[in-house]
Amino acid sequence: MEILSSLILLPLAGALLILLLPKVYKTSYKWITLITQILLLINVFTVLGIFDKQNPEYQLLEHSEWIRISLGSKSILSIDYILGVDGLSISLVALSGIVFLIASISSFKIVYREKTYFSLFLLLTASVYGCFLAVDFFLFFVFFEFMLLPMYFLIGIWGGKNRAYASLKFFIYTFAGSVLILVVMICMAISSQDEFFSSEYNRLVYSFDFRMLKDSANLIENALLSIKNPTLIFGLPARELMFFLLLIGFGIKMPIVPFHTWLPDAHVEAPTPISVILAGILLKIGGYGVIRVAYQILPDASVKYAILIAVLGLVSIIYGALNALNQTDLKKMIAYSSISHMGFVFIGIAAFNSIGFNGAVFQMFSHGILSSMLFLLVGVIYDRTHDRDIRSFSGLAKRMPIYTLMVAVAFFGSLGLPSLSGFIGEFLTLHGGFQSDLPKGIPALGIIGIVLSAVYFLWTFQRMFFGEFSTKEEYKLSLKDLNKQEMVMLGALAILTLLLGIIPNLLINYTNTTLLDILK
Amino acid sequence: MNPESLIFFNLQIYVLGFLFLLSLNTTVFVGTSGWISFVINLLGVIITSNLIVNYPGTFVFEYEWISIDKAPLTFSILINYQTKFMLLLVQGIGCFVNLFSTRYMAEDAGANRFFAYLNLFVFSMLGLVLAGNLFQLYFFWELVGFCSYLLIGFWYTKKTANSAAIKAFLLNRIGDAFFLGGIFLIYYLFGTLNFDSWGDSKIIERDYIYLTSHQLQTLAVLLIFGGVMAKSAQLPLQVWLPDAMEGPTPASALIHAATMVVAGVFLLGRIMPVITPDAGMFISIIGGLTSLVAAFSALFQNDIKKVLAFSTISQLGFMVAGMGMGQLAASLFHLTTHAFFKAGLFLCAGAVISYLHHEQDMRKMGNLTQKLPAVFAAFVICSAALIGLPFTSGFLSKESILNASFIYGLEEPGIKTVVPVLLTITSFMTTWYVIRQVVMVFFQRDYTPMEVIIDSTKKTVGGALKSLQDVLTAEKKGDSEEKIIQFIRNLGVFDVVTLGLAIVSLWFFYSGSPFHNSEVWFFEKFGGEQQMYDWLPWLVGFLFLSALLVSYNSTLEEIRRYYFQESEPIWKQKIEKLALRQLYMDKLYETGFRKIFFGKENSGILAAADYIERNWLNGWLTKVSQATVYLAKMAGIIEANIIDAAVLGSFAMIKKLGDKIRKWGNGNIQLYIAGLFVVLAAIILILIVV
Repeated sequence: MEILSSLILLPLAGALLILLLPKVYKTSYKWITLITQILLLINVFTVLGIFDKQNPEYQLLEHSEWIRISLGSKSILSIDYILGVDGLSISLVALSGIVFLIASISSFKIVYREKTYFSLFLLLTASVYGCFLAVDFFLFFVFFEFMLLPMYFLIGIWGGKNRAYASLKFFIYTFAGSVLILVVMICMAISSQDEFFSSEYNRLVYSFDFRMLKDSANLIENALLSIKNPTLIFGLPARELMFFLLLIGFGIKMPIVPFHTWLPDAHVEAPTPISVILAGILLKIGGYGVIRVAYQILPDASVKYAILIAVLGLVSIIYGALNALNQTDLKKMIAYSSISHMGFVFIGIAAFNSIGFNGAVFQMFSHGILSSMLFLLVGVIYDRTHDRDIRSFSGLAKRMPIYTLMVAVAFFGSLGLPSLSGFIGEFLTLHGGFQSDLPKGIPALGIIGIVLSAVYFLWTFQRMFFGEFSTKEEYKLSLKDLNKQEMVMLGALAILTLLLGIIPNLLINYTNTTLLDILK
Repeated sequence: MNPESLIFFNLQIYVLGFLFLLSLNTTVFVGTSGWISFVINLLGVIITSNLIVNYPGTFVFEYEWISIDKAPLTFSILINYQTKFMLLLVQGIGCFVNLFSTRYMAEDAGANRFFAYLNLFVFSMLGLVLAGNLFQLYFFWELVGFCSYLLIGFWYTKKTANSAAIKAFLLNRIGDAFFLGGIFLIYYLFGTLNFDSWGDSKIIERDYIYLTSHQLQTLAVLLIFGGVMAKSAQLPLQVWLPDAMEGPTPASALIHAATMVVAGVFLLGRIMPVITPDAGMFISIIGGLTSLVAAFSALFQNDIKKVLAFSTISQLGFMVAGMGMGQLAASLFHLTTHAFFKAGLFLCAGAVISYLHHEQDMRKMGNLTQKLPAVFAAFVICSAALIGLPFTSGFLSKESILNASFIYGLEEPGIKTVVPVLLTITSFMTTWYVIRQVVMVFFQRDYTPMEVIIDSTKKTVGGALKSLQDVLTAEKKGDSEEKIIQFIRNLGVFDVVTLGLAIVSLWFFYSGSPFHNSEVWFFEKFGGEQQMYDWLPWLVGFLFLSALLVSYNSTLEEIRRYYFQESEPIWKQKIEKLALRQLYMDKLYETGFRKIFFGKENSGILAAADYIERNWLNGWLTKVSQATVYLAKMAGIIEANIIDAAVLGSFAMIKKLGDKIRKWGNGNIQLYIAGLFVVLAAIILILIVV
């Protein structure tokens, strides 16, 4: 059963269908998208069902040859189409299934150029799934790069006033990051050989298979990245330089301070469903990439620079929180809070123990759900009034009780109230950081981030929802409570965050074994 | 039922109650929601009283929760005497408060929300009490804080209530940040967070930056104590509790007097095995100082609830000091008695406030002895317990803490001696402000209180004797019996609840003998009874009498001044201001935050972050992009003026050349032939030469 390929092919087929259908049927585009996402979620659940939680290796592998280029008579460059899931990727695949479904419901509000929008949307879906499922570095990179294209247009066409600037900034910034990753990819591929196939073909086989790359026994002697005889570039061993390049490349995606400035702009301009996807999934690829690529392929350098990663995480936590405190635009505040929360992921993965790793993955998942919720909630108020300024609202609790309840769940989840998922993620990452060899000051200072996040979320909550109801005259009529569609989306996410907060094992059972294996 | 299912059933009904009440229609169920909630709470009490703890040690149920390999966190339920009595305490007072609220909140539009929060609170508190490890305790610790936030800000359209709620949550967050650090450090030292698996022998030897394991242990306990400081309102994080009185009075009674605020004391009891002597000394001194400062502030408050709030802080200081001295039994005993009489006092205050239509200023009260006789009686009994008069529970519990503090302080005189001194001064002040409150709130302004007391005692005793006589002699209904029946008929919900709590504040629930600690069952269960100082009751009695006189006179003087609008002497005003502002700590955090975050004229940390964001990170990016554009322009210029110019120029040159050459082809044959010869000659010449 080629179930993993179906996760990539289904959205592609959907996109094709939308492109082929004439404009007369344009009301059906959103339904095609929705149905595709539902089918995808069903497939994702099937994968979750047949996944063996005790097996740390890749599962459900699909392998076929893709590109074989002979480089002269001595060597072959082999690029394969390999898909597989392990405990790390399956959590993010599950997250994608959920977030894309929610975003497709939220996309029902898109009213112009539907054809382009929904086909790009499905294209994005395919590339995100591809990115998480790829076992071949080259394949991973192709999907990773390809994501930028639909994102660029989705922000650039359906965005707000300043969309051209934001989308271009987003594109160039992340593109610069991926160039660094490309450099690393090439260096890695030429430094190691696939021993098994090399002996089979009697020629040197360069391959991009993650499983091959992570085994240091496959390194070619005296190659660029060899451990024993390090090549110095700018006075740094090549492996360490490669690690820095990866860290910057994925750090931009994450985003980590100081490479984050594209994020607030992109979020503020993007339409609601795209913000949801951006915060819900795309940011996680940064963290995923660091664990999958940097840690597995360059474990020595990673351990050596664990403190650097932790410090970057800490700076993100506190700096993001301080900037969130500065904002009066609700969406921008949430964007900065995203930066702050993703900082916990870095502290968790810098810990190099099972608590921190599990915490980091948990935090990514939990942030995916909570930030989706937060951006949807901003969308609710923006749709009604076309205003996102925190100062223009007051006392909404009386007028919109269900909305207030949902905001309360999302805000308190984000500020780490126990019984909602954010708490578990924050606790485990800091706990892991403290029990590791990192200086104790880093996780200890990270706790400040928890206090600060309480400050800005509570302040906003009080400012907008409590007190007497008052806002501009023209908004008063349009401020109605949630409609059914919004209630379904937000309710589902709220239940999910509650479930994960109470039964964290739902996720940790999947990730635990693989992460433990990566630690070795 | 077996204890396991009893406990889970217990937890479930409150969660279901919370969800059910929250989903009720606001308008239809305004009246009934309170009674639904009351039934749930009553059921809870019944279930818990079925829980039999007949084993001396601790008993733990463990379940998988966060199953990370090598470092799993379990969901465990720990049952011992401390758990059991705390469960009964929380649920019992919860039940009383619920009954009280059915009346108090009856006219409030959000009644079902209130009762839902109340149920959520009881659930969280039960979780906290049952928690078998620090992580789980922290989990519920934050949840009770959240419930407190919800209930303080219950009237969310009121601005002061919102500020108080946020203040409470944030100060608790700061405390929790320390607590979290303490949890990490404890795990680092012991490799486990379970309460039942600690001990000195199990500590992992670690040296971290010049600190040995035992010093680290002291540090860990102090960090956890940071959490206690916030939750149990100890110096310097106590400032949220007086503000928390913005919430509905029943919530204040349950959360901010009887149960949630003692969670810190409870936690200290749980971690007792790891508290080192140094940490204990710090804790007991902080407790002593808190009790003194709070009592001092209570002396000058005019808001009936604020006096009680400061008194709560003060009594919490007693308990914390007791824990610091290692007196688990005495401290828990005082926790229990205090919970009942303080809840009683708060509910009486609620009844008074409700009777006076939301008037909270004590100076405007008075003359209530006849109008609210039952509440008055309950208030007097509970106040007596707070002061620590004989025949009340407070006498036993407070004296046992005082006694322990003298033992602790006199054992090896030194800095520890501060603790008994602080606590003794506090007892004196306690009597002072309690008497002041009783006089101000209830007594006739034109009679002297002494007359009223004597009069009403005479009447009550006489009436009781007479009715007893009537009953015994089985005569027909006499006048006095009629009166008593009438009195009972007139009892409302308020009266029943407050009298109930007052009765629980008497001695017989805790000890066979009203005068001596030796028969208190707490000490049998928890151990820790030590020698008694015989002179202590005399000291307490002396303190009581002197404080009674001082307070009585000063209160009358104060009331007189208030009525004649006379101002007080300057020195007194200064002291009063100091007390009202809690030694200038009330705004400490607000101004502190403001200075750190905003600074003077936007020079604080927020402005700095904004500056970095705008000018460095974004500015850097802008510069790069500007440079790129500039380079592109330069490239354009080079392209147009040099490279393209060169190409175009060469075209032009060739064209010019062509033009020139074209001119030669003008049909002059002789010239062609001449040219031909010249070229031929040149070729030949070259061939010859080369």
